[in-house]
Amino acid sequence: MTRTSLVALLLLGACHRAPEATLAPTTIALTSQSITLPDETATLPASAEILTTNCTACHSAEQLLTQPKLDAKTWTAEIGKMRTAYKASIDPKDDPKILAALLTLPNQK
Amino acid sequence: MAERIDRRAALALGGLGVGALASAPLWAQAMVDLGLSDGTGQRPLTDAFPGKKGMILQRSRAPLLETPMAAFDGALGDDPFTPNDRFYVRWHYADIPLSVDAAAFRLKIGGAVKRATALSLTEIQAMPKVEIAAVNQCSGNARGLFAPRVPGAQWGNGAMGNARWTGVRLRDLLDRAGVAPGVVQVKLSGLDQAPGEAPHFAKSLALDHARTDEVIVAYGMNGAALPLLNGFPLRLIVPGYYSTYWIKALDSIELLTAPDTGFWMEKAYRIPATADAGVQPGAKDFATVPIGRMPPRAFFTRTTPQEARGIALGGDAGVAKVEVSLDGGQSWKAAQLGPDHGAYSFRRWAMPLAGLPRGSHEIAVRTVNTRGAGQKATPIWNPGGYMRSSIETARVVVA
Repeated sequence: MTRTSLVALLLLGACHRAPEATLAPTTIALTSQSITLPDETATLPASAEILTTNCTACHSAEQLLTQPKLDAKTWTAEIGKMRTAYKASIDPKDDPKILAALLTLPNQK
Repeated sequence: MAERIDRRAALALGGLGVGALASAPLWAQAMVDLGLSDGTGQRPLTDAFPGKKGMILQRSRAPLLETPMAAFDGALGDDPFTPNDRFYVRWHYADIPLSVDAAAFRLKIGGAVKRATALSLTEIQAMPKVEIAAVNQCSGNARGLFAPRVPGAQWGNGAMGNARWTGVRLRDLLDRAGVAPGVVQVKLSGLDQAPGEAPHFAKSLALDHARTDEVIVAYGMNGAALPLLNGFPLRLIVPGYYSTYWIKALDSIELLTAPDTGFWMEKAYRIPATADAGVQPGAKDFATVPIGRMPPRAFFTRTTPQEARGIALGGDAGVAKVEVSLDGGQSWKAAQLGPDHGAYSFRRWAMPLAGLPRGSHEIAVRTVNTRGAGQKATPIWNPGGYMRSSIETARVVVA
């Protein structure tokens, strides 16, 4: 191999790597991580015990308390989705009570 | 969007009115108002989540933390990247990885491969390194602004962020395992676990898409390891696509010889198969497709009588221009653009306003991407609250 072609190859190599040469020069250190999440303090009204039983095992109360005003049909569909899509163990017999509790949340009035 | 932070309101946490949290967390630092249509947009600002500060608390478990628009603000020349400690957080299920042993972690590559493979972080970091700037945006970003309103996380516009992602090409990882003949899709999932019998969160990309230059597995976010809440140690980066595909704490890559029929592809994150993903409010029984590419969007981050400024994203292409209207959209004037950090990054914009007459003015901003796609004034509607991208407005009062 001639000196010229060696230089050309080196340059080619340099060009090939050019986009990566602009990276931050430091290696990103990957060390073990561990965190603790804060306690949740949003709570449902005392009258909404049926929601504590059926909803908040999977998600905290804000999920319910931040919803816009939804009609009974939409809430019923949500209860159904939790049971069929996400396999929540909600007894269909409790649906009317759950719906009534949802509709009386402070954000639904 | 009239997002407003009121630190004085923190004093009145106990006395919030209709639509507020029944009891606000003790660790709430202040309140923010997302400006939602029915006045239910009050949320606490919180510093309580590890590695995060000044985040809008949408939900404690599984965490949903929104980035205030002010965190995106900066001068035209400032870099347009979202700090890791302000980057939004979104998990589906409560059982998220809270501890990851970097030495023990393995990324598994299996399914229709020539050699089932498990790679350590050290092995991955020894592979050719690539970097790309890209916006990560939740499919449901701005769902709270839909009219009529729809159920789901009631985000303002802050379920998005922009970072420099460092990692390796997904293609290079696939080639380590060897793609078997007949593979059509690549299925990706992470360390988060579903409760009970609920479907494990997993998403799939077409093999051709997975093998493009842009799709990477990132171990770096703005030059540092990812925070656990954003997917440490590895996150899939799918530039131009909504965040549902950007699997966090990625630990499993499975090559499929038939399309993924799992819940998260077949049932969830689907949009109307219409040109703009919109349907008439209340429509049913329309054809759907999995959500995919992002449309362009422009946002205000600060508006004063002297200047309006903000950020824009081109979606699946670069930002070509940003325009501002002061007359309700009748005429548009090109804004100044900040430095270009690549097609998938935020781009800063600014527009001098000095000389506006006294009074209240509505200002609109829109962007057009390099494919020629723009924004419309009229918002779309769909029942999932996905893909909002209509023109944003802001109000400035000249005294």
